[in-house]
Amino acid sequence: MIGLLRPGAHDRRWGPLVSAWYDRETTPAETDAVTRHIARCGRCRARIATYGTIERELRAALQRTPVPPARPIFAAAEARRGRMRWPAARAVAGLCATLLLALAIASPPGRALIGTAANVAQQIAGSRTANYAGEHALFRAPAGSAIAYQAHRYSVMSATADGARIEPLGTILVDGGGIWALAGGRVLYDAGSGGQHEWMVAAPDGSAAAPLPNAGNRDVVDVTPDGTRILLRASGRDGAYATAPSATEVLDATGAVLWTGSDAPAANGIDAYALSADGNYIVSGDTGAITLYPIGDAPSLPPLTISGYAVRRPQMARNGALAFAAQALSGPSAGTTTVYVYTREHDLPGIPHGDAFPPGSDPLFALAPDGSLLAVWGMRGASTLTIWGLAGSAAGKVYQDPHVAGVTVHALRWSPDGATLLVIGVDAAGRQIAYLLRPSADLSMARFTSLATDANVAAANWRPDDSLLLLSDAGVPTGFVAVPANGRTLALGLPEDAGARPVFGAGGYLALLKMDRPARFLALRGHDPAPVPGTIAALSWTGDGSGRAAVVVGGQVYLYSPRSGLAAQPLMEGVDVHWSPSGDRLLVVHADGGAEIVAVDGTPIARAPTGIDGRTLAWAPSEATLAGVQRGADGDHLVLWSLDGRITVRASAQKIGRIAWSPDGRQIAYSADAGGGARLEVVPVRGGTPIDLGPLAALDDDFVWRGDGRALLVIDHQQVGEPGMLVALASDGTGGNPLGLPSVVHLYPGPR
Amino acid sequence: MMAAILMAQSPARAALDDRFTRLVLDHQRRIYRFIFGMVGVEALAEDLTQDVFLSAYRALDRLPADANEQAWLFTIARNRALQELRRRKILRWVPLARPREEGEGDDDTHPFDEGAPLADAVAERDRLRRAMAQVPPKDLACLLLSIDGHSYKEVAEITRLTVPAVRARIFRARERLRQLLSADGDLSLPAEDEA
Repeated sequence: MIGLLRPGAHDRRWGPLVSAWYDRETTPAETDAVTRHIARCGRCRARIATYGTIERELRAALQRTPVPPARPIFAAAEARRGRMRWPAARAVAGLCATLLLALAIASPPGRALIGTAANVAQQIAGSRTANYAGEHALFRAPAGSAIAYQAHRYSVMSATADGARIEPLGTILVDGGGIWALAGGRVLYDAGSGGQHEWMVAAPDGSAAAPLPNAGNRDVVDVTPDGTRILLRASGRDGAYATAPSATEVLDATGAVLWTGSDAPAANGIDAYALSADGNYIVSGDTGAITLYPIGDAPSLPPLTISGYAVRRPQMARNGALAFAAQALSGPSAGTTTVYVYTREHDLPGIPHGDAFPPGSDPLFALAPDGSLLAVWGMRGASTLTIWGLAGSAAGKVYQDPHVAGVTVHALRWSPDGATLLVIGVDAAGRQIAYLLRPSADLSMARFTSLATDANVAAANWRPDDSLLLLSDAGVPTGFVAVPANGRTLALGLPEDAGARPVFGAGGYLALLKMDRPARFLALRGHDPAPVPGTIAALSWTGDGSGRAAVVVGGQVYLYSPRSGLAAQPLMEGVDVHWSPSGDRLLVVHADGGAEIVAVDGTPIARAPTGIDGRTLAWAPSEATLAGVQRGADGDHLVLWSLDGRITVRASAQKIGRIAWSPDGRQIAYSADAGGGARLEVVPVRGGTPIDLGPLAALDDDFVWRGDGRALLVIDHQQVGEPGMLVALASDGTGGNPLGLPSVVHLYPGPR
Repeated sequence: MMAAILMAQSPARAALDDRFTRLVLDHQRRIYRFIFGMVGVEALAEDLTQDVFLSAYRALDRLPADANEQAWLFTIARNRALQELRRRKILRWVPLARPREEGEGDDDTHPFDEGAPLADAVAERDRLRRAMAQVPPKDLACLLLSIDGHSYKEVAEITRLTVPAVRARIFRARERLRQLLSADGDLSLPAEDEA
């Protein structure tokens, strides 16, 4: 049929051939004919473009579809049918056993990545070949985005006050930590890690996250039930909360400072764990006293002297009732702790609730905001949780909770309306649990509701409307995150694997490449799998969409193409390899640090001048030059190397580490150390004074240009490899902004 | 208990179960997605996926050891999906994402969507869904298999067609989608050629 078609003229009969050509399913003769035709036929070129669009949409739509794991598929289908549909019970038993076995095999964390390198390499070889095997971590990142490797990701969930309905709200990127509800429906959570605090405020779905102003590296220890006031405390050198007055501060929900301990007349320091329920006082315990620090216009109140006791963690209800733990300082009960409730009707210290807890067994307690109920948990040989009635119809009544057996409780919190108690703890099996107790009016019983989710409840707290916020580690525990130029992060859902690297194919398709295990490159169609003869040490894709790659295995550079798979013979020796932006040439780095430019067939084009560290070389986007570091006796120089052999120095320092071209090729960012520690600097390619953007943890610390070229992304951490907050530094040196991504461990350049 | 069940099995049955286990692990997700692409309903796709593997389990002892298991499974899956579509006579489609239930939170973005509003995402899926529903199922099956990475020869083996027939069906499916999506006006696709 080809002979009947004129190469340059559009004809409907070209359609099936072009379609097959698009799939690389044409014979050599057909391939030549179609190639010549589409070079002249705009309509067929447009047709191919639409084929690509359609295929991307189909694939993306199917990728979006959650694939249930094997067991839910079978279980869900069974549940819908209501009965066994197939008669062969024996076969079913065998099948179930087999599926259980399959699931058991699938369970180890490493299972999901078995074969990843092989599968994803095949899938991303070209955008159109990327299939929808989402389980193998194949995702698309927007062009121009950077990729951050993030430590943890948690789901924010809401629960109704009775715990009957638990629904996902969204996802926030945190390394555990607490969660609080603020006025206005916002969520306050700790995005810090490694003992550092980074308090963020976000919408309940995790979007629009921004740091809480003035929070600093302090812990939130209490938020009023209406979510309008936040009590913060700084830690001392020993890790415990500092009691210096300046360590305590109260902010409102916008982060404005309402009260600062620096101005407080507190010679003995402040040891507060609670704000009064009405938000008017900071309630501080001390040896022999409770001090109430008024906030705003609240009237001053005299301290309450409680002689002979060390007062711990006092709480104050709206009716003025105070609950606190008091440790006897002397006498036969010395060292024991008792929970007291004090109102104006009592003599100090007030009325003890429950027997004393032995030394070393401090109780937890929670006073309801309206002062009507007191919950006390502690260990007196066994775990006991008691609710005492203090006012109203429950006054004088006691409820003992049977559900707490075997549970170590670490948080008790009453709902804002005082009707329901949230209990968070760890059960005997080590699982974090959360449950609700709603006592009856006469405390004769309490309704128990387990806040059961599919995963651990890492944190929980009440919202002002008496519903609940839960922080759960359900779903993907970790992810690679795309950071587009607009700063809105985009979780890619890739699994946690610190040993994996993101690699890109055409169209921004992203995969993880395991660097520490042997892999197989699968030829695309009609070819047998080509085993990689060892562990992949480096990999570079061309950016031209052809799907070609260069791989370093065992000190040898191999080429890979979708048509022929991995070459049987190496191209040349090398320890690292980088395609030129056009995909026409390769930069090959040798073990001795030297480097050379070669054609695709290995023909030498240029060798890097002596002194240039080949491991630092990076192609300019225009491909006309490379930037690299020239080591010399007088220090390091950032140089431009033109392939005609010219060397131009653009910056110098005692040591220079990494280099990154800006997306437009007009600036180069580099890490440098002039003797005072690693810094990130930017210099114009045409020459000029370098701009100092700020410190880095080390010369080999990660930094990546943002897609718009106006900022560089860095990790605010003390040491390379430690998690830290992602920060965007303006490339003109005018400052930086945290991006709401905590515990970022590594940064990688994304697709361009 | 599981161990007891397994221990009671004969060596041949255990080997067969091992083989089936591998089949499930290796192909379950691709089979599910293929079926979902064909029928467009998650719950139905789950049911049909189950049926496919049940059929495979029953017939596995008759499958030669050197057979192309993947092609075999996809053949079962294609036939099962087409059978279902014939039975229903209509294609029932729901949004490609799991629909939100009443009262569900405002989780209206998908990780892929860069924060795109739910309305946009649903509209896009609906558009594609409508178009896919109008592609002849046998043509659509060929296209989906091709997108899944199967060569034309493999698609021919799965569908029991000739390679030229596969080529024609994939072309027809593409062109049909091209026409439908162009007519929809949401995609900037060139109009159908005139010559």
